[in-house]
Amino acid sequence: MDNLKEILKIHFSHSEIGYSSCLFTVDNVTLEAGNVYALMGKNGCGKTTLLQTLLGEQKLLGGTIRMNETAIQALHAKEKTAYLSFVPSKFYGVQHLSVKDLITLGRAPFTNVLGKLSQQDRQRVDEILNLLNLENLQSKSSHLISDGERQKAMIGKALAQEAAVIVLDEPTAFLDYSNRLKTIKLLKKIAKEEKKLVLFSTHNVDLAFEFCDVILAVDNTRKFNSYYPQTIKKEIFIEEVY
Amino acid sequence: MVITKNSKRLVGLTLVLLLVVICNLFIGQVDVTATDYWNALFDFNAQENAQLTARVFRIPKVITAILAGMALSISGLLMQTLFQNPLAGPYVLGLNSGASLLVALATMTGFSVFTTDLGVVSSALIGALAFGLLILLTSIYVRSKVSLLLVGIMLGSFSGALINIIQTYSDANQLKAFTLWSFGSLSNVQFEQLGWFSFVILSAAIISLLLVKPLNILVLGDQNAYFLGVQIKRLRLLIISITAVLTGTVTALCGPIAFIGLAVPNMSKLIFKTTNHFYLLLGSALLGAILLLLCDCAIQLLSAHIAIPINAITALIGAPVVVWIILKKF
Repeated sequence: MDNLKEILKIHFSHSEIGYSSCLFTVDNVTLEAGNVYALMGKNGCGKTTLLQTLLGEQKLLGGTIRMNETAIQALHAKEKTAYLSFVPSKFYGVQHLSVKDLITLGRAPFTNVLGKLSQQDRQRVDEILNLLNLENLQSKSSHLISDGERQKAMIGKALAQEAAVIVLDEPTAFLDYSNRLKTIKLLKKIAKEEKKLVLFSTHNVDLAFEFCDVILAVDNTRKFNSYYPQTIKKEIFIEEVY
Repeated sequence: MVITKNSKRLVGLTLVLLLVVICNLFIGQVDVTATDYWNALFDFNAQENAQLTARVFRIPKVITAILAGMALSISGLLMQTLFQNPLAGPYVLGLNSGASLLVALATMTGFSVFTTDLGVVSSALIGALAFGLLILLTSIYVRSKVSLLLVGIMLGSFSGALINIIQTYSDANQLKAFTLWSFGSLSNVQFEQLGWFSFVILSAAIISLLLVKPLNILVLGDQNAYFLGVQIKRLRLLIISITAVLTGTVTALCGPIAFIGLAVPNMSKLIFKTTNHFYLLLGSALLGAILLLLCDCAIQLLSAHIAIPINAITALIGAPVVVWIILKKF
């Protein structure tokens, strides 16, 4: 996206993650726009909690998380929509809400009190429909399409929001193999072409190794590490994390 | 600007509403002509029987039916969107019960403060708001849609029991007045009350139209709406307050009218096939007015043979609609 002057960075320093007691600490980790990050670890290790903390739904127990220079706690609701967009693991669709209308809702932060769409809003929605190959589905109701198509539409909604970061909670959990592959490839394409920071939690080691730039994982000893798929063997990673 | 299908549907419904209003004005046992209506409004002569009928009975009743139908349908739609539940409504979720309980307290315990208009209306408002907040609070902890409906129904039973207790201690006249009120009626509103009644209902309706954007986003669920910048907590409180005002006012003046708030928004969704609340709100308002007027027409036409309270008619129409929704969606 060309209207962001600087490349967005998320910096974690001594960030203590957990509900009431600290599950693990993320220290001196920087995430950059243009990359795809997979967040991995055993069930219950705190992946979702980390995502929730980043999104501001869960309190940071200690340390700081900064978006460029601003601490996330200090972000106003308005700024938050400019930085963060979110795609849940399961969305059931809504009767009578078409795919196009769903993606258009992503423009909400840009419209006035009455939600009036500008020429630019409409144009952006059309671009996204084109980018995601959703044009022929655009007038279909969002609860009648397949899980994979709906996932794509939700990613489209996140793109329409034009936030620098797209956070996805287990985007591939409910999809079949071919849709998983398509979704991850799509996320990669978005990160590279639209210069977004894509962060998603997953259990799919193979796809993460094949398509992600960095794998963030909580290992067996509850330590938070960054793994680079080019430099570490899959077997060693599985040994350490699972 | 392109005239969409849904705008045409709105115009169509407005025409139907006009037609039903006209039907409603000209049926009944006394013949009232258009000239009589004109005179009743602008050159009232209390000696003329027809004018008297027009001013005292027909005009207030028609306007009350329109306002009550609008109010209940809008609050039903707001609650259905808030709780993301097609079976939500002011009656099922206990807002009506809250209003009834406080009205029972007000009318049957004999505090004179409550015998004024303002007294009854404000006690109904407080009741509706209190039960509304209770349901809202419950909805935060109870995630299941069915459980929330059950909690609403329990609130109804609970306040019903309290009302029964109050009734056993009240005197015959008060009991009669309350029982008649609880049947529901569109004829209790006086000509002089129409001014503030319309003002309250129309203001609440306009405020809800200003919420179209957050309501449209809210259909995606609380979490998605939050990340699109909707201030969920504020929106929830606002919706509950608007529904309490709408339901409370109507309940105070017309009694607890069931099912309109539940059935009409679903009909509106069926007709407009959209999640855009601009059309859904206006559509529900028009349909609600039409439906209550039609119910009243039915009562008038049958009045020679049988006296049916409005609440019975709305339940006769509403209950099958609810069953149909359950069979279709749940």
